[in-house]
Amino acid sequence: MIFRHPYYNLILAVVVAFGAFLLESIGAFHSLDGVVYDNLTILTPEVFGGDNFSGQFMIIEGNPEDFYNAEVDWNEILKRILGAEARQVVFYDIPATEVWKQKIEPSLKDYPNVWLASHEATWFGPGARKLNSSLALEKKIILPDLTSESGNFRDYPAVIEPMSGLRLETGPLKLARQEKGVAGEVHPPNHFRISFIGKSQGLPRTTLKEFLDPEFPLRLLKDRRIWVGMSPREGGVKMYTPLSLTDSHLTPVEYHCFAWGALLTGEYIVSDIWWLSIVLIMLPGLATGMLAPKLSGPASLWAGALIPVVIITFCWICLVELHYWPPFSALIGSQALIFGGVFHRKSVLQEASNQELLEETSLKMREKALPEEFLLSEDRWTQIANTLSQILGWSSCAALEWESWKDRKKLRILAVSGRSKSSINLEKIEAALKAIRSGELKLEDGAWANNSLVQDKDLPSKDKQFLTPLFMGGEILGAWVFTSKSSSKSHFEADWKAMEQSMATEMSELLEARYLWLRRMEEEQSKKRFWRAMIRGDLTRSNYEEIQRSFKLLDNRRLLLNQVFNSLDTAAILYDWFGNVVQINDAMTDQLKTWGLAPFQLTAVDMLRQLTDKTEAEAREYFRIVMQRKETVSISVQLGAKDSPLFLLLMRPVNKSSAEGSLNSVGLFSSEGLMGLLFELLDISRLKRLFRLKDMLFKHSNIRIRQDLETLVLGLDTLNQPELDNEERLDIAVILEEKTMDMVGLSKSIDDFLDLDVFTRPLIYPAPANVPLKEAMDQVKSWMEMRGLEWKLHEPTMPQLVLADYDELTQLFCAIFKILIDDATAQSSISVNITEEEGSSVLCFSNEGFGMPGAILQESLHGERQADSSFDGIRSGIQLALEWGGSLSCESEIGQGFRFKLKLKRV
Amino acid sequence: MDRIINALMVDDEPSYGKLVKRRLEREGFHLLQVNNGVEAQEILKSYTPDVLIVDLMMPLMDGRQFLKWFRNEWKGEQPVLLMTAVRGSDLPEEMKDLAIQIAQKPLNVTQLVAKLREMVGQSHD
Repeated sequence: MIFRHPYYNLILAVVVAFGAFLLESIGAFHSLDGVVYDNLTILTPEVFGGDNFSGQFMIIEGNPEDFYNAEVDWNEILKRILGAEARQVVFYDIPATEVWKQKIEPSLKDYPNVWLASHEATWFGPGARKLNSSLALEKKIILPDLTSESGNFRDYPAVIEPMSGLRLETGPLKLARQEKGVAGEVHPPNHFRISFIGKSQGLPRTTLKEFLDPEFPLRLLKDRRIWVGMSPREGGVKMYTPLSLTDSHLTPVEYHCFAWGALLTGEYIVSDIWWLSIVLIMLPGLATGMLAPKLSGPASLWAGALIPVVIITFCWICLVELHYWPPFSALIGSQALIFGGVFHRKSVLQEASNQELLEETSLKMREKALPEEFLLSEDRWTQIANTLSQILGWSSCAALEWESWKDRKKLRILAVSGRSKSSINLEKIEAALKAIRSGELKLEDGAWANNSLVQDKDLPSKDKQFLTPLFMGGEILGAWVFTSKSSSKSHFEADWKAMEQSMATEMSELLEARYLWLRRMEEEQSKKRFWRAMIRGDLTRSNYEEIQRSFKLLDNRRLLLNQVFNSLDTAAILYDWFGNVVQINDAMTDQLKTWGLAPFQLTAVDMLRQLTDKTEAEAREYFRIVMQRKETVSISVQLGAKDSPLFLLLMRPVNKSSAEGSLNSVGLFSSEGLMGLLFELLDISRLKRLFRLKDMLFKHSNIRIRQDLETLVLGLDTLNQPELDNEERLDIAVILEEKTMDMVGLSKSIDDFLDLDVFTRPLIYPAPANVPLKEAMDQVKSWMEMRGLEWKLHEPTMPQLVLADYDELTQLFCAIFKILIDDATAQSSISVNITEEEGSSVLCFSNEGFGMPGAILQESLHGERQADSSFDGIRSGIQLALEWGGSLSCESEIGQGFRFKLKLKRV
Repeated sequence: MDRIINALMVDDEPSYGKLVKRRLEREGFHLLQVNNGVEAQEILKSYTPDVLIVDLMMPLMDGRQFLKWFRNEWKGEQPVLLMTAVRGSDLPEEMKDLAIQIAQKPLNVTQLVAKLREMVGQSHD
């Protein structure tokens, strides 16, 4: 739940920043900070440094015996130093000899610029010797004890607390304050850091012997701060500074001088301002916590790389310009933690979403194929085992699954066929699966042959036993054990193996579905959600495996669907609503290849234009109608020569309702519906040829019937002749009988043909009515021009695919036009109006002409009096229209011209 | 008194031909019937009809081939009545140039006789 908390990032930023501040406070980052600080100090060019104050100091070092030797006149030495116009004189770590106490110390109080310095331990440590009490405290300065350190910066204490309630300013601060004169000008915190930027290591020094030499140039002492003391012991304390990375270490006296110089020049570095540290850690942390989740993948990579650079630059600017050293390590560490935490959360949530999605999808897909009781009931699994045994000719078969889906150590028998449960050697199989999982046992063709898997004395010893692990996503979900009959020609033939492997895949899917289903049931019962496991830390491995299995399941399903799609005889291509190819089957790929068309380089509109002679505007109009009206559009396609194959292009929408219907019945699309356009190409060339044949048969049978009727009519007519004798009558009777028998036989043949026609009729005559119409209009164009007539054409946008023979329909249109043109008055118009009725297309033709009496017209068309051959085509048309399942009617009156109404069934 | 009209019927339907022959002979026609164009070519060498009745569809040599031969090679000028059950619109275009009359089956004998007399110029009207 915590990952889904809306303020997770904010809480994370606050907690991490506060934690980082605490660690910073206890010095956890001291070493890392020191390394960065030292390196920045060294790498910073000298120009960014302040004054090099080494010229402000000089150290005079004497041997220890010089300080115990009563003959050394220290008063004279002091006068010589002060005489050289030294600015300040500090005697440090002077042994408390009687001579020194009696002769030197009393006189020190007369010199305002002379100081006696002692280390903290000398003053307050065990066995410390009190300096002469006659020396006023104001003349004494205390120096902090500096211990040797191998690396990293050190903070210089400005104040020490040798005992409770006693706060003493250390020497450098006291001297600097005294020298500056005005209190408050030097305000370091309790600790400060000496800035070594642009400084050279070491200070000028000389020995007491050299100093006492009359030739010593006393001008070197002018305006300097002189430190007088014992020379350092060999192996004594050496002070580490950033400069030590490239130069030697400092002596403690030199280090005190640098501290004094830093205070005098203001080049000391402040670092321990607690409230500023909190602000500096917290604010960027909050910003990162809020902004990082909004970054995309590449942007987050850039941000991850830039954050350290920005922090280092910020720290450097603070160091050089503000003389402040921020909590670098805490800052960068907290940023890294917050950044990482935010993206960890993001990835966990994404992973969780993916897992949920995949699980849900997998379950939905599986639920479609498998009812819930199938997953639950073990009877169904027994049925599977029996079926497998029957199909693959096994003498026994056992399906095994893990007792626990979590540890996967113990097997249980899910179903068994042909043997008893007790005959299955579970221990052997468990050991074998363990060996297979570890790679110790290699499978041959996905199976392991071993005759101790089933222990049944009734089992023929020649029968071979096999173990097949059931894998899904690299994980063993279960296994099946089967025995192959010894009578089989071969225990493991190639095609048999392929079948067994294929069924193993199917079985794995079933087990995976059962596993998912059982787990979901378990989760629902215990209200346990998988993210809890993630929070506990076991999210990566198990989740990865589950996602892998889910993908495998989806992949298997996708491959199956691809195979189904490809195995369709109908060439099909699926486009999304934007006209891009989503899926294409092999039949369509092959067909388009013969026409030199590359489907993936053409949008649906382009494809339609390539297949037909439609303009872009027309093609788009078709799509608009398919999308908006959700109707199937059919267009004939014939590329190349006239005798090349004729196709019917069906364009239909694939929307949610249709996805639930026919298409989804093969599982092509998910229940959510992959919406788009489906193009199907139906080869109707063979059908057309078949119906041309049928047409010919009709014509021939018509001729035969007419001929035979002619004979019958003539024979009957002759029989009525009174002058015929009996022999002649008998002769004619024989003829009539023969003809009658012929007609009966013909009638039977037609019946047979019509029976066949029942099955094929719906597919026989798909003809786009507008195309033969245009062709007929072209054929009568010259007549129209001759008479000065014009067309008034009203047709729907969509071509009317009707049940009719293309050529005969053209002829019928020509016949109608012929009558209309002949009858029309000059300079008038001929109207063609195509409308849709339920399941039919209605084509109305009319003219502005002279017309003829309706009764005569009907007599000419339907009556016995059919002398007027100009209506032959219409008479044929009436017959044809009936054969096509439609009708043709004609009306006319004097002065009203002709009106034809052709009604044809639509496909 | 009308003279006897000699007619040649080319039709592969013998029973129909037999009936027509019987009826036409009662109407003052002399009719010879052959089964196809090849037989008609042969009989024309010895028989000169006043009018020809030709069926369109026949074996060996159909009506179309025979008529083309009759007009173009035999140079026959007698009137020809083409009897067919095929719709007029289905007839080959070239048939229209062969100076023939077309009768659509079924056709009763009265109409046939009248048509033939008209063709040979013996109209009773």
